[in-house]
Amino acid sequence: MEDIFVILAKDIQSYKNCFRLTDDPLINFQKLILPEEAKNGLKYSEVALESGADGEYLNDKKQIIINDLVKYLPRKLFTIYHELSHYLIYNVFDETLSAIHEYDVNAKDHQLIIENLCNFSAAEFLIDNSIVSICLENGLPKIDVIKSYIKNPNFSAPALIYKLINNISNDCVGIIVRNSFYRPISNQKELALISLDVPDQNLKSSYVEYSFNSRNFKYPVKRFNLVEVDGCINSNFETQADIAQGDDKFPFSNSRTMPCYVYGFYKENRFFSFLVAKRANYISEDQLLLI
Amino acid sequence: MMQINDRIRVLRKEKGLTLKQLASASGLSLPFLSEVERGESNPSLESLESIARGLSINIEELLIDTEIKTSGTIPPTLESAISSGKIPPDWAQTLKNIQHRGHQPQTEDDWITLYYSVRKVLE
Repeated sequence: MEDIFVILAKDIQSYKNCFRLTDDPLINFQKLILPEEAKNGLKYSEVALESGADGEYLNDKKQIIINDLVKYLPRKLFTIYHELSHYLIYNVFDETLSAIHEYDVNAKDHQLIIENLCNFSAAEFLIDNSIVSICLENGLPKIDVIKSYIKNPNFSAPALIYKLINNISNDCVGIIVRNSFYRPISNQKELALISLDVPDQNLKSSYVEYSFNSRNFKYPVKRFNLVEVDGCINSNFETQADIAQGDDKFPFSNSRTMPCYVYGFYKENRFFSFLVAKRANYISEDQLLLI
Repeated sequence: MMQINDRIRVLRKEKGLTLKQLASASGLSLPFLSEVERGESNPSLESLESIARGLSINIEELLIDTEIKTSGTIPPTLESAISSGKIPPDWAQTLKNIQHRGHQPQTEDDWITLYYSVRKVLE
């Protein structure tokens, strides 16, 4: 069966070809895509979601809800296209939806596949293919080039990262970025979430929560590293034993450590980080899970 | 006894059909069949007859040793919020099927907060 990400990319390209899209993804959504899909019942609202979610999609109502409390445009754009992708996969992208049903998975796994696909779909809408070849060399990421793109105003860092994930070589098992950051509560081992979307130019370092994704991984795993602005830490990423056990859902038969590099930097007074992990030498090609 | 959605998926795969092919053969929409196979929607008798036709079997063969029950599992914390009267029962499916980006509802209070947020939009 054809790779589901390839099928999704084809569905997206066919869809984009139906519109005269501009370089502005917000204009594309507001003026082109949403009016067209509204004819098919799609609805869009922005409200303050006190739950803290960036966005919601109600499939039975064909309703996209975006959290009005998120003001940072790149983050909002990624969420808009992520939620739009939920609608498109279930209502427009027949080939992708049909392909998803070729996997014998339970309801929870189905949800995780959909979430992963919606992230990749958002990236396909937001990032042009030409950028990929600039950011990668022989399938490996060029860190300085990636950082320079991410530092562009209104440029979506997660979109770039997810786009690159789909094109990296198997020598580099994951690139992730997430910008929730934390400080330790004094005298306690827990970490307190300090902000999600607020500029803070005085923040010099942060514990960063991140998800570890590559096209061969079905599940995100979160870990915390203390990362400094304009710093790079050389760390080890250790898979959790309880998710790395045995079966065909995970790439490792038991807990493994992999060397990784976590980069921190400022953009518009906001702290960003991303991680690059290189596959450890003892993990062979055939041990990597193929979705 | 097998659930009807699992039975449909098993039979479809035995016949070597993709979901898109079954949609075409049965005359039902792909999104609807996706919901049926995921257990998110209970097919009517008419839909079951269409599915059987698409699979080139009779409906008795489709229904043998299967059961049809309320679709999907409601998370316990959502169920608790409903049974305590804080969320109307008819909101259960809508809230359960919401695709979240970011924070996922964990507690009863999370579901109640989500209910009020979504209700503002839909009403």
